[in-house]
Amino acid sequence: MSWSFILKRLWRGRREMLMLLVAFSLVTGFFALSPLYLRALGESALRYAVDNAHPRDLMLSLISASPFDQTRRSIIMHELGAVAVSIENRTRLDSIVCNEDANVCLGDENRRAYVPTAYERLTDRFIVVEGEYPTGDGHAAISEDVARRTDLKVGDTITFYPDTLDETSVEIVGILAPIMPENLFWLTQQIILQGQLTDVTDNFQRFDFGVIMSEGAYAAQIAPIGRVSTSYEWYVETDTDAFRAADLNSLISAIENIERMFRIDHPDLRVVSGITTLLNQFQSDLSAVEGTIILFAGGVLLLLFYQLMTTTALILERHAVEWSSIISRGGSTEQLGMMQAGTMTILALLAFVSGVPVAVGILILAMRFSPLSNVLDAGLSVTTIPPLSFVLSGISALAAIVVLTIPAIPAASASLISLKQSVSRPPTTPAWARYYLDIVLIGLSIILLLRLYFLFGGTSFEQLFANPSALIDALTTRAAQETGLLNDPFNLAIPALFITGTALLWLRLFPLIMQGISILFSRANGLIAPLALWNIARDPGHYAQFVMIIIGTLAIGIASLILAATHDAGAWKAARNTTGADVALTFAAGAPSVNLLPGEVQRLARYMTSDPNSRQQTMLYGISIESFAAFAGAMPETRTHPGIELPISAAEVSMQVYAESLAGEDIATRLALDVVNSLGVPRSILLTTPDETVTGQFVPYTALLPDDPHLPYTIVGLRFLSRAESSAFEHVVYIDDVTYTTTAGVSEIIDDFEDSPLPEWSMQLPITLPALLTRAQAAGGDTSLRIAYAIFARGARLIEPQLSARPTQGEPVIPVILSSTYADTFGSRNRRDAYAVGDIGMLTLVLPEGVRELRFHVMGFLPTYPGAGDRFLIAPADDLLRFLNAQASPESYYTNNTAWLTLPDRQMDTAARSQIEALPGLISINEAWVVYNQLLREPLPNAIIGVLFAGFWVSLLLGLLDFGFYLAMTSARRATTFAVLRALGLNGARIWGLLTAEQAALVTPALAVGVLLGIVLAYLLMPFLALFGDEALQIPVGQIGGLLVIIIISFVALLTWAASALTRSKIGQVLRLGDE
Amino acid sequence: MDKSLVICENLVKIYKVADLEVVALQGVDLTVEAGEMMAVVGPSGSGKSTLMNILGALDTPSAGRVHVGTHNLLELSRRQQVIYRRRVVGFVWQQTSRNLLPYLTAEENVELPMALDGVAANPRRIRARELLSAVGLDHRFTHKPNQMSGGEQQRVAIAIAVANNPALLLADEPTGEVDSEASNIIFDALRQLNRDLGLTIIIVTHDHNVAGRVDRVIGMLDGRASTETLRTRDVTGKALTEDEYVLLDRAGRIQLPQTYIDTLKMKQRVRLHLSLGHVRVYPQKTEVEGEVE
Repeated sequence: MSWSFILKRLWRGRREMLMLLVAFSLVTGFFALSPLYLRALGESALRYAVDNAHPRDLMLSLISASPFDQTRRSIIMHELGAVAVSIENRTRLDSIVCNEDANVCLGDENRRAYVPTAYERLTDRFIVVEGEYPTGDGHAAISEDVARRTDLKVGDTITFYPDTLDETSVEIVGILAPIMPENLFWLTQQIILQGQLTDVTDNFQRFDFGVIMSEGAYAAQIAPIGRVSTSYEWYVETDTDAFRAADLNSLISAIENIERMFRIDHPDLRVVSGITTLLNQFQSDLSAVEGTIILFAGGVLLLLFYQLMTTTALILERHAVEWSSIISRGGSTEQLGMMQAGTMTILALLAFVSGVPVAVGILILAMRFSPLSNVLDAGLSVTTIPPLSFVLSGISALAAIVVLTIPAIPAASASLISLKQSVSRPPTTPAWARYYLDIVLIGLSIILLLRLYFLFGGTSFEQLFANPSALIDALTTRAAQETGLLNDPFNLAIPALFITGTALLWLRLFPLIMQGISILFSRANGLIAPLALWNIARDPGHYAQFVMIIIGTLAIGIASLILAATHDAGAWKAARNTTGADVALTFAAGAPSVNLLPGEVQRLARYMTSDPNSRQQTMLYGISIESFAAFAGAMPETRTHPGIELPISAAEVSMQVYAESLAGEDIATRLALDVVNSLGVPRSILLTTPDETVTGQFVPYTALLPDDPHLPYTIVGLRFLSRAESSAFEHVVYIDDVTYTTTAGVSEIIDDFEDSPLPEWSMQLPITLPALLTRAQAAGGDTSLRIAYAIFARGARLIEPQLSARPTQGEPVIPVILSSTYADTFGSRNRRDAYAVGDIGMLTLVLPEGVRELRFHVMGFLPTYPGAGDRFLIAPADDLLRFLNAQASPESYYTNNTAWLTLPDRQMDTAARSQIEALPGLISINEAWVVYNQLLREPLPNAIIGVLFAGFWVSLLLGLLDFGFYLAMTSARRATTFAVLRALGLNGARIWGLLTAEQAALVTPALAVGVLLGIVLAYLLMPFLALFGDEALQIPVGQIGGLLVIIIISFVALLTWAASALTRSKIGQVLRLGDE
Repeated sequence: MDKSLVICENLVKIYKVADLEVVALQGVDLTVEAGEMMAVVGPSGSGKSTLMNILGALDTPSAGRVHVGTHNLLELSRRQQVIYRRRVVGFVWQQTSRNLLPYLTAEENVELPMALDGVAANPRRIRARELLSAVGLDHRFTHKPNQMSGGEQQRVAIAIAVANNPALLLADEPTGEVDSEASNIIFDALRQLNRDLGLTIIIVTHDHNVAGRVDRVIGMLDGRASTETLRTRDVTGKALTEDEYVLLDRAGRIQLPQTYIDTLKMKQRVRLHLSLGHVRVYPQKTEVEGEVE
C-alpha cells in the first residue's frame, strides 16, 4: 500500500477523517494537559506562598568573615537576572560589645551594649535628623529611636570593649533615620533602628543597640582589633513577581552557582536563602506528583482510547464495501492493517502537532470553569509550556496509532464475511465474554483492594464487613500521613481493573436488560416503545458501547465534582483544625485580657512543651470546664483550691500578731503573706508593722495587696522571715483576726480562730518537722492560731519556713483528656498498656522557669483537637494555669493566650482585621483562610480533579462525535425504516416519540448508573489523594444536576438533528433508492 | 491429460442461521475445462453465489472436494487463500461499488491488485494501460468511476479482475445493472479475454442474453447442479445445436424437472425401466401407454 493510495483514501473520506482528527486531537490534547496543568497549579501555589511568605524568607544573604569584592555584584545580577532587584551590604561585629568583661557583658552603668555596624553609602540609607553623617574615623551615629530610648545625644562618647584588653571610643556625631524603614533590608536589623531589650538575668535587662559607622571608620577602628570577628554581609532583595514555576530549576541552579563562585574566595561563606528552601520544596512537591498524575491521566486515556476505537470501528464499517473489494483483489489482513496504520499515522502526526494547543485551550477553559478554578489564579504563560507536554502528546499519538489500527483486524474479517453475500452469519461471542474477562477483572480489583485493606491495618473480614467505611478511614488516615498511595502500581490498578471489568460486565448485561425491557413492552398496545426497543435490540453491541461511554463519561465528571467539593471541604476543615477556628489569635502571656471579641467561640490557654528525654513536643490546652466536661463525658471532680479566697475588692490584709520573746536576744518578727491570683500566679507580700521587735502583745501586721489584672487573690500561706541575733532559732507567734479590707474601707474578719477548725496548712520545709499549728491563747488574748516555727541555717543559706495551704507532697493531680497517640505512645512506653480512663500519669514539662512534673488523671481520649498535632493534653484552664503559674511571677506568667473566632465568611474583612490588629498584646493572627488556600493548592488532589474534569469534557465530546457519527452512518438504514413507517401512516410527532423512547431507554439507565459509578469512583479515589483526614464525601447535588443536564441536552441536540433529518426526508425517494 | 481447471466433487456447504442449518450446496459435482467460458444460472437460493464464493476461496465447503488448478481449496491456509485470490482467481461483481474504488482512476484501480501483489510501479502501470486498452477504455485512463458509464465501469472491473493474470475469472451478474447495449459490450469483452488469453470464465447470471451466448450453461436448483445446456456454433458464432441435459452425478442421481414431476404426479418413488438405449422413469402407479402394470 503506497502513501499516495493512503492519501487518496484520506482525501476521499476527508469529512470522516476530519471528525476523527478532531477526536484524535482532543485525546492528544488531554494527555498533554497534565504537565501543563501541574505547571499552572505550581505557579498558583508558588505565587500564593510567595505572596504570603515572610519577607525575610524571600531574601538571599551572603555572609563572610572577609570583605566581598564589589565587582562581584555583577555575578549575582547576571545569575539571578530579573529576580534580583538590589544588593545591599553591611559590615558588623559578630557580637555585642560592652564596657566590661566581654564574656559577661552586663552592659555599662546604663545597662547598654553596642553593635558597631558599618554601611556603604550612608547617604543613600539615612537622613540626618541631627548632626552629620559619621564619615570620619572615630565617628559614629545612632538612630532616632535609640537616641530617644538612651538619652544619648550628639557629642556624647561611647566607650566599649570589643576585646577584653582593648577599648575604643567613638563620638556620636549624628542622629540618623532610615530613608526607607520599610525596606526589606532593615528586616533583620531592628537592633540598628530601634535597639532591643535583652534579658540578662531574671532581674536584669540590657538594652542593645547598633552604632552606625562608615566602612572606613569601621575598618580602621574596629576590624583591626584582635579576637573580634566581623561579618561582611550582602543582602539580595528579590522580585517575587519574577518567580515562575517554570524557572524553579534555573533559579535554584543560579543560587547554587552564586554560592559556588563566591565560596572560592570565601571558604567560610554562609548563604542564608529562604528562597532556596521555598523553591526546593515546590520543585520537590511538583516532581513527586508529576509521575502520578501522568499515570492517572493514562488511566483516563484508556476510556478515551476506547471511544476513539469505537468511532474508528464505525468508520471502518462504512468502508466495509471498499475493504471487501480490496480483499477480493487479494488484499491481506496485514495489508489492510498497514493501510489503516498509515492513515492513522498521518492523523497522529497532525494530532501530535495540535495536541499541545488543544491542551492549552483546555487549560484556559479549566481556569474559568473547572471545579477548582479558583486555585488556578496565577495565569498562564504560554512561553512556559513544559516539554513534557509535547512528549506526552507524541506518546498518546503513537499509542493511538496502535489502538486505532486494532479495529482494522475485525473489520477485515467482517469485510471478508460481507463478500459471502449471505445472511448466515453465525453468532459469535467475543473472546472476553467467552473467557469471562469481566468477572476476572472485577475479582482481581477486589483482591487488590483487600490487599490494601490488610496492608493498612485491617485485621479481619468481620471488621471490614461490620464497618466497611473503616477501610476508607484507615486508608485516608494513612494516606494523610504519607504522600498518597498512588506510588504503588497495584493500588493504581484497582480502579482501572474495576472500571474495565464493570464496563465489560455491562456489555454482557446490556442485551439482557434490553431483552427484559422488551418483554415488558411486548404486550403494549402502542407501537412506539416496542419499535424503539427493537431498534436497540437489533444492534445491542453498538448501543451497549454508547451507554457505557455515557456511563464512563458521567462517572469521571461526577467523581471530579465530588472530589473537588470534598477537597474544598476537607481543606477548610483541615485548615480550621490547624488554626483551631476560622481565626486564631495568640496573645503574649500576661497580656491584658481583652473583652469578648466578635465571633469568639473559645478563649483558651495553648502552650507547647517538650519532653526533656525524647524531645517530643506536647501541646497543652486549657479549656473551659464546660467544654472539658463535654469531651470527657463527665464533669471532673470539683477541686477546691487551697487557701482563703479574698473578694475582688480586697485591698489589704491584716492580722494581729503576738510574738513571743526569744530568750536572751531581740527578735524582729517578720511575716510575708503568700497569695495567688485567679491564675495561680504567686506573690509574696510583706506584712508590715510599725515595730517588728515588739513581743508579748498583739500588734497589727498589714499587707497591701497590689493591683493585679487577675483578681481575686487567694491567701495560700504565710512566710516567716524573722531575724534575730542568732542565725538559727525557734520562735512562736500567735495569729488572730485575719482581716481583709476592701477598697471602700470595709473590713471583714476572715478567721478569728475562735470556733473555726484549724486550717489545713502545713510547713513547707526541706526537712520534716513535727506539726506546729495549734489553737491557743496568747497571754491576755482570745483564742488564736499558735504557730511554732524555726529558722535555721543550711549551709550558707537561712531556711525561712513557709506555712502553705498547698500540699507538701507532690503536685496536684489534674483531670486531663489525652490524645489517642499520646495515650498509646507514652502509656505503652511507661507501662505495659496504653493509658486508660482513670489512670494516673505524669508528664515532665520543660518550662522557661524549669522542669516541672504534671500529674494527671485520665478522663478521656480524643483522636484530634483543632490546632494540635497528634500529641496533646487538654485540661480545665483553671487547673492547668494554676499548675503552670505555680512558679511564675507577676511579670511573666501563663494566661489564656488564645482566642478562637468564627467568621460569617471564611475570610476576614478589612474592618475586622483592623480591629483585631489593634488589640493589645497580640502576637499573631492565624487565619484558616490562608492555610486553606495553601492546602487547596496542593498539586496532587488538584491535578487529579483537573484531569478527571478535563477527561469528562473530552470524553463527552468524543461520545457525541461517536454517537453523532453512528446516527449519520445508520441514517440510510433508518431512513428506509422510517420511510416505510411513514408510508404506513406514522406521523412526524410519533417519529419524535420513537426516537425519544429510544434515547430514554439508553440514557436513563446510563445516567443512573453513571451517577452511582461516579460516587463509587470518588469513594475509591479519595484515600489515594491524601485528601484531608476524616472528611466525608461531599456530594454537590446542584453541580451534579448541572452535569446531567449537560449530557441530556447534548444528546437531545443529537436526537433533534436525527429526528429532523428523518422527518424531512422524502418517502418516495427513500423507498426508491433504498439503502443508497 | 486432464485439462480440467475446476473440479468440484460432492461439494457441500452448510450455513448456520441463528438456530437453523441451511444446506446451501447439497453435493455439487462440477468440472470446468481450462479456457472454457460457461454460465451458472438458477433461482435465488439455488446456491450459485455460494459456489462462486467457494471457487473464489472466500468461503470453505463443509464437505466435498474442490480443486482449481493445482490448488486444493479445502487445504489452503489463510495466507494461501490470500495468494490464491490475488493470483489465481479474479472477480467481477454486479455492483460497481464492489469492483471499483471511487477515489482511484481507472488506471489506478487496475493497478491495485498488482500493487497488492508487490509489482513495481512502472510495470504495473504499463500493464494497466494494456488491459484498459484491451477492453476498449484507452481514453479513460485518468477518469474516476463517477466519470464513466455503467458499462465502462464494468469493463474496468474486468480489467481489474485480470490484472494479475489469473487462471479463473468469476463474474457475478456482471451485466445485472447495465442496459442491453452495455451488456453486450461487457460480454464481448469477456469473450475476447477468453479467446485471447485462454482465460477460464464462469459467469453467474440471470440474464438469458448472456446465458444464451455461452456454450455451456449449468442450471442450479436447491443446492445442486441439475441441468446442463450445451451449444454448438458455426464459425460465425451462430448457435447450431442446443441440448439441455439433466446432470447425472457420480452417484448416478439425476434431478427431474419439476414440471415433469408435477405432470406425472410423481411422489416418493419411481420405477425405472431399462430399454434399449434409454431408461424410462415411471411414477409409482402409472399406465404405460397401452400397458397396465
